Amino acid sequence: MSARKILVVDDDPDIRRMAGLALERIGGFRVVLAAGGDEALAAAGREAPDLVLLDVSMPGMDGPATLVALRALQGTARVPVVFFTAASTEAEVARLRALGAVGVIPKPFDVADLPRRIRGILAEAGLD
Amino acid sequence: MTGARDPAIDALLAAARMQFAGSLPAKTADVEALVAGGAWAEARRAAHKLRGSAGTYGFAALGAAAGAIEDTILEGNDGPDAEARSRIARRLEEMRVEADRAAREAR
Repeated sequence: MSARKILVVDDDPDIRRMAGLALERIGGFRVVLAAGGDEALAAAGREAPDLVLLDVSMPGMDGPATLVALRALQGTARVPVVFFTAASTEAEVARLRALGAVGVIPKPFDVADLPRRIRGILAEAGLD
Repeated sequence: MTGARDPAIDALLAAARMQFAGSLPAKTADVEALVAGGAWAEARRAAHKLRGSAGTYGFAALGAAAGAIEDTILEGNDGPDAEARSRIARRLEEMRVEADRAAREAR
C-alpha cells in the first residue's frame, strides 16, 4: 500500500513547514500543503487526501467553514478532518468534534509525536 | 522536539528551528508595532500565530508570552484598558528578551 496522503492547511508558513517535515520525513506520509480554505478545497479535489489537518483560525474561510465546504463536495464529503488549534479548551474541542472532526490536535504540537497521532486517528477511521 | 533518530531528519529540524529563531525578533517587532498602533485585531492575530508556532519550534516561553497577549486583547471588547495595556507591555518585553536570546543562539 502506498503512503497515506495528508493535506495540511494552515495560514502560518512556519506551521506548514514543521507539520510537513514531521509528517513527511518522520512519518513517511505524502504531504500536500495549503495556505487557506480556498486553496484547501482546490487541493482536496485535486489530490484526494486520506486526511485533512486543518487549522481552525484562518483569515477568510476559517477551518470550520472549510470543513463544511469539504463536506458539500462529492469527492471530499467523507474525508477525515483533524483540527489544529491553539485554543484547545474542553468546550472548543467539543465544538470542533460536533462539527464532524475526527480529532483535535492542540498547538503548539510535539513534532516527533505528530505522525504517531495522525497514524492513530487514521487507524480509528479504518485507514491504517 | 524529540524522538527523531535519523540524523538527516534531526539536521532538517534543527535547520528549520534555527531559521525560525532568526525570524523571532522581527516577528516580535511586528506584534509590538501593531500594539503601538492600536491595531488590536491584527495584533491579536499575530500573537495567536506566535502562540502556536513558537512552542512548536521549541520556544515555549515566547509562545506563552504571545498567548498571554492574545488572551489579554480578547478580554476587552473595545480594546485593552490601561491595566491590560500595561500587562501587554510586560509580555512584549518578555517576548523581546526571548526572541533576542533565540536569535543569538541561532547565529
